[in-house]
Amino acid sequence: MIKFDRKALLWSVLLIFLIFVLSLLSLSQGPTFLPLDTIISSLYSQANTSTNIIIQEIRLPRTLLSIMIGAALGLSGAALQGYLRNPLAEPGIIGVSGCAALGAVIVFYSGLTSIISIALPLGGMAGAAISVLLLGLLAGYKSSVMTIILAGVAITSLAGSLTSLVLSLAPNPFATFEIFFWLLGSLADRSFEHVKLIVFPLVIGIGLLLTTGRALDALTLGEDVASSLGFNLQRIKWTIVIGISLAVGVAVSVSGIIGFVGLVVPHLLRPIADFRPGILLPLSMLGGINLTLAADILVRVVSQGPELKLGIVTALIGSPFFLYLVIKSRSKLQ
Amino acid sequence: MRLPCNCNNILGLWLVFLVFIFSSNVYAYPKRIASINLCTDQLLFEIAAPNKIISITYLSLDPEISNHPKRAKKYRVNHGLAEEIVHLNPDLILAGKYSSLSATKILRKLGFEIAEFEPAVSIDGIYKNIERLSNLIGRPNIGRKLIQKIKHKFNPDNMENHAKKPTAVIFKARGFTLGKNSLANEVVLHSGLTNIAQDKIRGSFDYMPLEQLIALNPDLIITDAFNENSPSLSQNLLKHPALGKITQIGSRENHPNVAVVPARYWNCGNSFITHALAQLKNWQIKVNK
Amino acid sequence: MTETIVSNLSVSIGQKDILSNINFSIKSGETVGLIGPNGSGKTTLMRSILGLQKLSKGEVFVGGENIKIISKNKLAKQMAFIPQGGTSEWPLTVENLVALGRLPYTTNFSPPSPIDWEIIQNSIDLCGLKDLSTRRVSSLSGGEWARVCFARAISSEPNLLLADEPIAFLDPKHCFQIITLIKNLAARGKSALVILHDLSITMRFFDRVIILKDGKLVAVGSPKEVMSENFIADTFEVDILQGQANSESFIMPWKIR
Repeated sequence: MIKFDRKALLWSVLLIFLIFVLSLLSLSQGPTFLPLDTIISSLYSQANTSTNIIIQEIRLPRTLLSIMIGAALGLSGAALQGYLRNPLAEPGIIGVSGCAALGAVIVFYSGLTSIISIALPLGGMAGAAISVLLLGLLAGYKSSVMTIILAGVAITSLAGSLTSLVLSLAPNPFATFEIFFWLLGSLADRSFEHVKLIVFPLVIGIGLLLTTGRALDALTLGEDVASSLGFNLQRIKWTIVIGISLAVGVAVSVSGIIGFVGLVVPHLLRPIADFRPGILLPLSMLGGINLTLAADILVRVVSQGPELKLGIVTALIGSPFFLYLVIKSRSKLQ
Repeated sequence: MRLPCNCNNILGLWLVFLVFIFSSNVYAYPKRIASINLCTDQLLFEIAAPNKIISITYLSLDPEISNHPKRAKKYRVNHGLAEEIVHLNPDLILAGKYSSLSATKILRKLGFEIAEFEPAVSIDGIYKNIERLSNLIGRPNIGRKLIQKIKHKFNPDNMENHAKKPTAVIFKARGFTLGKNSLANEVVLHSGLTNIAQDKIRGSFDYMPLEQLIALNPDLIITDAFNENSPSLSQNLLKHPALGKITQIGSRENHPNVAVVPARYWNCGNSFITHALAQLKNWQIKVNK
Repeated sequence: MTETIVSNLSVSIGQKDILSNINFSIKSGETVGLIGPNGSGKTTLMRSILGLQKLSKGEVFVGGENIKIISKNKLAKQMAFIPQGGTSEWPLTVENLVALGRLPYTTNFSPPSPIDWEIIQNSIDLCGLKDLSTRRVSSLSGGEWARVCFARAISSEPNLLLADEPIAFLDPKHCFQIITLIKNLAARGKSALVILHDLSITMRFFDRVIILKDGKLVAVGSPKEVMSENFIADTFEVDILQGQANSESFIMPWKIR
């Protein structure tokens, strides 16, 4: 982090304020209407009324998970883009989320999660870690835009079909319906158990990624100069790999794949960060929280009855951006 | 004893006649019945002679959704595929009206006799299906007895009718709930409960958000223990802590607020519907205290 | 002690010897030109001094300390590196890019201090970039970009500047600007090792010259001593033109042999 200048500071304050507003909106969104003052008093109430249960056990964990997962996705996107020096890099596009989902699916449907619940985030983490390493193996860490995207597409589709395979072979007849959850992501009906399950690895992952800011700034000048500025490239690589695996891995293990957050958010905030990858990290984290909260509110507003999947909304917002970035980078490739 | 010659002749003619009648009877009713639908499997087990059945679906082996898993083991199972049925050469194939449609189409093209059954969405629907199947396979008496047995339990005079009707919501995996024009709804109503989901959902079934269930706060949540032993997110919804809180307990079973009615009693329309009714009546009495 | 010593340095990649047995030293306040034909190992030598290249033999001492032992951060404060061409993956502003030179002096928990910012501003001023400081580096001309790279390097306050062809692609005026900046650095007691291809500039402006050929150090000394017409002609395998102007002698590659 070079200089948290006035512009970045102002935007951070604004984004944090927005998080509060959206959190309240998120708490007030659901099939049953509850007025705002009831919601706020419900947060502190000890009584076992159905309103309190709805707020404390259903909506609050959902809002908290939006915040945690949004932070992980926004930050991971910015960190990956900074590290690979490629604005198209995103956990969803390069296959990290897909492999995290595969890991979580294997662990969950094999019944391991019923034995030890921590197995679920561990599965997600392992999947994410394998994908990052696989990507490095397939494309190399400083390869061109196209190679990384191609490798990512290959990993994503492999992970997607393996996920579907595992779900089809799962002994439970509901498993096949749940392909939608894993591939499109949702935060519906999650509970505090999920919050507890992922909070520590997620915070550690986020912490690790936030420490890479200065190194990512240095990498702006290429690997040799970054190294000559005193940064250990191997250490940066492993910090990123472990950080992404922790953050994205555990996030996906409870929410399924929520795509494009890591793509859109850093892209929108880059001008505010004056293109510095370091300062973009905390900004993207805040931005990711906002986008995920907003998308999860939208999901509940637009769909009556059975909910739209969250990933559909983020993909609808995100894919035009992706196309725009592809067109923009096409001129670079030629 | 020596009979007069013409008498002998008459007896002979009678024998010939009887044999003719008998053989024509046996010929008219199917001897090799295959079923490619779980619900027609279940009806077959209740009505048909065991030696007339040649194949049922693999689903009938599952004790959670089948009432006759042990009997099912004696038969060749199919997966609702035409190929599996063709070489068995059945003289009657039972199918659901809305399942295995392509198999049904092919089998009909190949000239097989197919009887398609509507899924029962009411007690009357069960009667119709039983009557039709028992006539088809030449066991109308058994069918009538079965219907009588159900009618006895579902007699309007036996209907629980208290001034205070406890509220209930059916809430299965993924929040699957049932409303108007469903078999379950009729059973719930007959047991003296009111299904308050029926005004909240659009069709006869829907997925209810957990939050809505908690807001409705029914006296009784009716669920099943379907596939609890293998993990699924759908089933995990029933383990959501919010549900635990609303019912005031950690484990759902045996608590007055949650009735666990096995899926096999009422996922298909057959005589086991009376078991579902009996259980719900007990719950109704407990909840109404 | 700010001397740089390269002792017995050898680098081989696979079976191939890229550099063999290189020995030289650079004193403080000295500007050293590193010349040699393409593929002679100049860039590898520079990367070896920076600690970016695995050595198969030998040692490098910077400021009296072995670069293998010294921490990367300490090394970063001793040396600054300007790679050939140089890239900025993101269109930072000039000011923010120059500020990257202060990275060795900051940590995650101690952002740049006012003193750091003063040094950054000084570097920008020194390189005549004051009017450009808010411009994005993607919009700069080649000459401006070369100066930005230089400003970034000197904002690290290095004792040794390592520059790989900093004046390639520059027109004569911008070329002399950079040379002046290097000479100013030396005047303040810092040293510089610069890879060049311009023989006449090397001869006229550098205190000492190191000549590499096929991975071997073939000559080291003052330009007058080592850059004789015949020796240069043999090393680069071209004909050389030697001349005199204002009592200074100069050489110029003339034609292919």
